[in-house]
Amino acid sequence: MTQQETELIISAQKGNITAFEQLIYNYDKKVLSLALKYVRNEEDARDIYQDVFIRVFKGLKNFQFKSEFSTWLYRIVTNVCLTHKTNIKKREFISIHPDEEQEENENMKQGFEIVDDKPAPDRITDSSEISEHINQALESLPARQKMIFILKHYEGYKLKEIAEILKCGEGTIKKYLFEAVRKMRTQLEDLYYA
Amino acid sequence: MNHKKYKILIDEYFFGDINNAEKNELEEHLKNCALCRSEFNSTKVLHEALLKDKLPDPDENILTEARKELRISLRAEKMKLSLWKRISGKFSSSFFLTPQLAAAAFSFLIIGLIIGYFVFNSPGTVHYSLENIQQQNGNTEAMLSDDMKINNIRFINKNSVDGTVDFTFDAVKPVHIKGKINDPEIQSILTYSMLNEDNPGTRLNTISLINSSSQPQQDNDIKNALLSVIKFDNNQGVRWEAMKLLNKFKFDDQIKKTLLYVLQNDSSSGMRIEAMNKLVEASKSGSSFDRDDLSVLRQKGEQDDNNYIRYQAKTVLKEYK
Repeated sequence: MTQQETELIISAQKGNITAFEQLIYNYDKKVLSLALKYVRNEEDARDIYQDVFIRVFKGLKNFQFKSEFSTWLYRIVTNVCLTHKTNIKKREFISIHPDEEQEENENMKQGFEIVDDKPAPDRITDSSEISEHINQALESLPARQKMIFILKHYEGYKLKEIAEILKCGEGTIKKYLFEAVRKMRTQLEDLYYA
Repeated sequence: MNHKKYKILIDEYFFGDINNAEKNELEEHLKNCALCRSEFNSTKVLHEALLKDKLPDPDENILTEARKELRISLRAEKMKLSLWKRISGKFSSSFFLTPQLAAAAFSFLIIGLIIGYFVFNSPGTVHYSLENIQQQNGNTEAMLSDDMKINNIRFINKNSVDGTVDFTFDAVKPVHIKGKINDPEIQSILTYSMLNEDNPGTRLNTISLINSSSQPQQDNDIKNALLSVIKFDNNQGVRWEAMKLLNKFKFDDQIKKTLLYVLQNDSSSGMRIEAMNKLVEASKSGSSFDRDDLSVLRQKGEQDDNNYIRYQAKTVLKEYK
């Protein structure tokens, strides 16, 4: 954390909105970008953006410099993303509870069926089509796996950093990530492994 | 052979979380193991596909809009906090003035709780018998006078055997407050209205009301609310009225920064001209401009669409050469 950032945080903790804005403008583009990658629609991403920074504003007085500000901020971002209810009514329920998630996984293993309405592999040529199929595969992942996958693949975080953000062990993150990769591969294999 | 270990190494390889020793070990293993080689190739295909799925960064306009919304929310949030602080501050200062006062307040609290226990039996809804209403209001006709609006009648029991009916309704009574414009309570309500009223006409009237006072303004909450309105209200008429009210406040650094913000961001040339005029006036009265301020003026002097603003910005800059 730089000296300037520390000063901005202290000033923002005292209620200085200008300092708060200056502080978050170093991160807000990345926050919006992460939200957009997670929900894949602008309206929900903007809702997440608002929710995150209002929470940061209200909670900043409790920030005790025990971690990097960015880690603390992204912890809030991931929590808001994981609990966000979409306006588009696409996801009905998102579990952030590991037990429920496990149950969700089991259900998926047993009962998940992919409706074969995808185009034939030789037709998948443009990037928007690729993106659509990857999006579908991502949507099928449980919330935590999806978030970890996005942080690693699209945002380029190291496993250690993701573990700090999500407050769990590196081994757990690895487990989630590799499970996500396996599922993505299963989802996409008709298209790419023919 | 431990294929499970190599499966993990393959994933780590593609996510770039593998060290050189592990990489060499994996490569050596792949030469001799067809199963893991197939796994490696499948994972490679997936990662190549994922690499093609490049998601662009959000559009600058979305970010600008999101920031704009956030600014309004933050100021409203701060206003809520400061109103609460003011109210709680009043209470705490009253309670701790003298022990006698604290004891009296405590007695009132206890009496209030006892009365409340007998009068209310559910939170949110007040239950009256017909006698209660008649005692409090003289008669039901008086209660249904012109001021009181009754709506949202909800019948709880309309098929009573003994002829008793049971229903709830909302009785909304307009509140009339009279006081000096500089009274803190009046100012709290006006500040709230200025920032939170949905109707721009009401926001405009609120600002006009404050403006109608002949006395100079000193209240910090009103000033902060006004500066927020000038910067972020989406109605130009409201912003303009707020800009006029600024004359009642003593020019300071916060006002200067707000005017520079308007100069940079307001799409209305009228607002920018008014901001420029106030800055020129401040400059003539000896207010100082720091390096950042001058840089804004320099930019406006060269790039603003409006000739007058360009001219006035250059005029201020000349004094600093």
